[in-house]
Amino acid sequence: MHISEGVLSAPVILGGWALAASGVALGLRKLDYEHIMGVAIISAAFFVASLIHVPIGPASVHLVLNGLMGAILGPAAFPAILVALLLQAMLFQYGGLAILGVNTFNMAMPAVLCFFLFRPWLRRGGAWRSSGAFLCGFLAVLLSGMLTAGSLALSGEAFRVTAQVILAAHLPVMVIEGILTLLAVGFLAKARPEMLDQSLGK
Amino acid sequence: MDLIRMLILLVALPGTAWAHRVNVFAHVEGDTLHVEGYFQRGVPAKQSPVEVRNGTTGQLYIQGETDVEGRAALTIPPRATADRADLDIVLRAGEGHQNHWVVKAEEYLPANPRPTHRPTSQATPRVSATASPPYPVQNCPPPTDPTPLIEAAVERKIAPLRDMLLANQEPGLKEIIGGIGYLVGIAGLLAYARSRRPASGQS
Repeated sequence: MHISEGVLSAPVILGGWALAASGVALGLRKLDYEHIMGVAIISAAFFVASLIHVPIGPASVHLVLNGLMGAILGPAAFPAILVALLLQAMLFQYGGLAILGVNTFNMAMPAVLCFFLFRPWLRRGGAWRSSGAFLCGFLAVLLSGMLTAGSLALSGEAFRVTAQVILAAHLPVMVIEGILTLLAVGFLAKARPEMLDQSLGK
Repeated sequence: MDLIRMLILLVALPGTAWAHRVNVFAHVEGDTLHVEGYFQRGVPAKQSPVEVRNGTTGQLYIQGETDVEGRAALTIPPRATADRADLDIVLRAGEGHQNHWVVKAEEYLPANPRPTHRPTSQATPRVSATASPPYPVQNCPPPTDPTPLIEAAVERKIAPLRDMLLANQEPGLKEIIGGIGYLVGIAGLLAYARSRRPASGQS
């Protein structure tokens, strides 16, 4: 879901930067000292996740992990995703620097949105937390696909065709991400509750 | 409405398009421009539109489409030759994937009359070549211009090299470790910056 350089029009790129900047500002304000290293670790997982290919039928997909970041980090997912995408753009030539704002917003906004939507569930624990975590993982990828298709539509590509292709390709990823997020959040809540966003702690 | 339709469509359509970026590569043989597009792991970018533009003005010369192997062969338009323009080849692989490749004017323009022999070789008298040359230089018929032949031969020779370079474009261990290092470093800096404030603020 990395949009390449030169595809989007200037207003979309600027809009993406503005939205991403406000998200990052919010994330940094909410990020407290104890969580910095945890955020970096999750960010590293996101950075590497796109290299892990999961063969599904004839195609191979890779993980996104933005829902996982949202569920664990909350608003801090914004700066974490920005930095990880910046490194992917510089080291892997995925996406690009000008387009970084749009790509950050497309990945991070769904993550943070899912966090706020399912925070009550995540806080409640037990089966509630599991379902909330699964939905975070599942829906964040879905919404990211929609936002990507939306950004392309704003620059003239046909929304429906693009969205169809993106979502169809991501459907297995959504399920995998849901399960992964469920497992990761469950594990962290038991083993390392301090790594979760402070608003999830008791 | 649209959202509901989207959710229905979500279940349809087996998609294969999944990639980080598309790569494009082009080279010239005679007056033909060979374009190749592929995703990671050599998956070809099939049926993707290819545009050939003037590298400086952005003016569109020709358009084409890749075949099922991700290749396209386009004839270099006379307009481009007349403009002596660098060619900017843009490949649009859909879903926001796009990349471009520049073919310099020198790569496709007919070779200019230029001094191809170094003065030293001309000055060297034939007699002094006592050591036998590894290839029979004297057998070359002097009037024919060997440039096209040489270009074709070089092209053949470097083809595997080019394939190797292309295959090596995927991120390796160095990039991954480097990236993780950066993340740890950034976290360290951030933690350091934050740790000073309460320490100096409170007594």
